[in-house]
This record gives sequence, C-alpha cells and structure tokens, in this order.
Amino acid sequence: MKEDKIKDLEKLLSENKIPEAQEIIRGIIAEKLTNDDRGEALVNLASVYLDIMNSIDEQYAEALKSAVSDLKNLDIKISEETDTEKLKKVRESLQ
Amino acid sequence: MAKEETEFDKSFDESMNKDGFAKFLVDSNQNEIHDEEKMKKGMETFDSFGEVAREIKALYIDKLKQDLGIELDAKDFDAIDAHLYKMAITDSEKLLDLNKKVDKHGGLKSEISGLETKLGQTERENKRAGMFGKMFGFIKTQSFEFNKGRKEGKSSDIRTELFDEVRQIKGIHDQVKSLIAKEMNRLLGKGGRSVEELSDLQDKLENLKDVEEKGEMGDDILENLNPDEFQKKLDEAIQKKVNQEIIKAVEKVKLGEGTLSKMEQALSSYLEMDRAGSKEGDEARFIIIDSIKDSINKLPKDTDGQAKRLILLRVVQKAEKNYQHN
Repeated sequence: MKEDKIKDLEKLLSENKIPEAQEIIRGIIAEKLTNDDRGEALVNLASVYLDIMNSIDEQYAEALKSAVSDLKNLDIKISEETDTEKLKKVRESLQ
Repeated sequence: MAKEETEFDKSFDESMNKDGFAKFLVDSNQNEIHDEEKMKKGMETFDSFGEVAREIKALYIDKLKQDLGIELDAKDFDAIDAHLYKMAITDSEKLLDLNKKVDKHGGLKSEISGLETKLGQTERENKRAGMFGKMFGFIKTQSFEFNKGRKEGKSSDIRTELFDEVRQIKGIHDQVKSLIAKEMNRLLGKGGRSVEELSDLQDKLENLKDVEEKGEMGDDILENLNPDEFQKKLDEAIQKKVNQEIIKAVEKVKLGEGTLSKMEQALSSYLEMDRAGSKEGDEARFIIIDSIKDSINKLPKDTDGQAKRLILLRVVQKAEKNYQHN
C-alpha cells in the first residue's frame, strides 16, 4: 500500500466520505501484491482500523460515562423525591 | 557467584533469553550491549514488535473478519510478521506509535466493559457493530563441572597412589626420580585429555612438590622432572584445553528460547573455576574470560553467529561484574 493511498484513506475517513474510502480499501485488497507489499498493506489497514475503532470507542466510552452520570443523578433525584414523599406522609400522619 | 543485579540486569537477561531478541539486536545494528539506554530501547522495541504482531493478527482473526469480511491465511500472517519486524528494525518509532494504538484499543475495551457493567447493558457488540457498520458495512473480500576444581580429598588419594608407585621401587633413588619424571611427562603428553584430567595432574605435581619439600622421599625427587619447566607446559596445556572446551561448549548451544541461560549453564563449570594450572584467582578467571572472548572471535559472521556473539558478550559482562564483587 503506497503512502499516498493511506493518506487518501485517512483524509476520506476524517471527512466521513465512507463510500469513497470503501472504494480505496476494495482496490487495496484486490491488488496483486508481493509478500512485502501485502504485509505492509495489511498492517496499514489494521492501523487505520485501529484509528477508527479507537475514535468510535472513545465516543462510546464518553457516551457511557455520561449515561452512568445521568443514571446516578436520576438515582439521587428519585431518592430525594422518595425522601420528600416519606416526609410528607410522616407530616400528614402527625397532623 | 556474587550477585548484585539491577532491575535492568534482570530485564535485560530476560530479554536475552527470548527467542529472536539477540538476532533482532544484530539485525537492527544495536551491538553495544554495554550501552544501557540503547539496550532499553531495543528491549522496548522488540517487546512492542511481539505485542503489535500478536494484537494485529488477533484483530484480523476476530474483528476485521467480522466487520470487513477479511479472511487471511498463514502466508498473510507471515507477511504481517515480516513487515512489523522490518518496521522494528528500520523505523522503531513508527512501531512504537502503532503499539500505542494497540494499547489504547485494549484500554478502551476494558474501560467500556467496566462502564457497560455499571449500566447493566448487554447489547454492546450490537451497538458498536452498528456504528462501525455504518462506515464499512459491506466490504467482503479475501482479504529459549567443571569446577569440581581440585576435588576435595583427592590429594590424599593421589599421594597414596604416587607413594604406592614409588614404594614399589625401593632402594633405588634415581629410579624413583626417573619414574616420577617419566610418569608425569607421560600423563601430560597423553593426547585428548580434559581440563579436569589436567587439573588432576596439577594436583599430582603439587603433592610431589610437597613430598620433596618435606624430604619424605629425599629433597630432589623432582630433579629429573624440572618442575618449573613442567609447570609451564602444564599451564599451557590447561589453557589450551580450556580454550578448546569452551569453544565446543559454545558451538553446542543453539539459538532459541532461553539461550542466555543455556549458554551460562554450558559455561558454568568454567566460569566458576578459581584455578587453572598454577594460575589462581583473577589470573585463572582471566584465562576463562579470555577463552570465551576467543570463542566469540571464532563465531561465524552471519546473523546467527553475531546473535550468539551478543549472548556471549552478556555472559562475559556478567562474569566480569561478578568477579569484581568477589
């Protein structure tokens, strides 16, 4: 895989031009390559894949953190409301 | 041997025992094993090579097959190994960067797993596959004893042995002297002797000197032998034999997993010697070290030979350090 193809692929992915990126990958995989070039191509493809997956996983992890945080806030709110409700009932029973 | 191993020593020895590490140092032209910083870098790069190769192949087997439909064969995996090895040799920084991506991938997986557990979610793969599928959903292609030294208790046996021989020739002092000289020279001249046998001869000579000094058999029983001249020849014979045996021992050790340990084991009887003929302490150790260095010079100039050279240099380096502490 030539450097320029890698750069093109990275650029297309960063611009979210997926169909065009797919075309490049198709071409790379279909190419008749020497063992050296094939080794390089496969490593580079894995490298790009790792970039993408790391980027997706980072976003996913952030979304999960946010969800966990929201859930905690929700638990606190429910707990507060439950306490308020209990207090209300206690007050009512005392009246 | 006295040990004052640093953390570096321990990890360096571990690396030197790894299959392929010494060859990697040769291939990447990192031959200065005394340069700690360079060796640390070499160790880091070699370990990264192993980790990246393992992880990338795992990626192809698991995720890339699933996400992109790429199925690789053994030849493809060999090509990946070969390219990563080349990268480790020619562009270690690029390999280390790739290793960071691999580490990050593993770290994120663990983090996500922990977060998902917190949320009690079970549909992780579906969600992530969904996100990736939007981008690449459709692609389908092929895509490691001697230093018995002077055997304790041996001298009394030797003395008895020699006295028995001498007593058998009673009354004729000159015949005794002749017999001693003849027998000692015969033993020395006997071909194919080992270092151990020559060291036994050294014990015999010293016992005879002792007998002569005490006058137990007269004060000139070694007259015909010329002990100084004999000692010189014996020293030369021992040194020559040590050298030959070390070269043979080195030849027998093959490169692979645990090579450093195997080499140290093969040379341990020599490295533990505190005596070689009339030479003792540092003088004897110098002979051993010198012989190992000589064996290094006799190694082939190919990659395997040079990899073994680095292993032996490490053995010498450790031995010299240990000798300093003794």
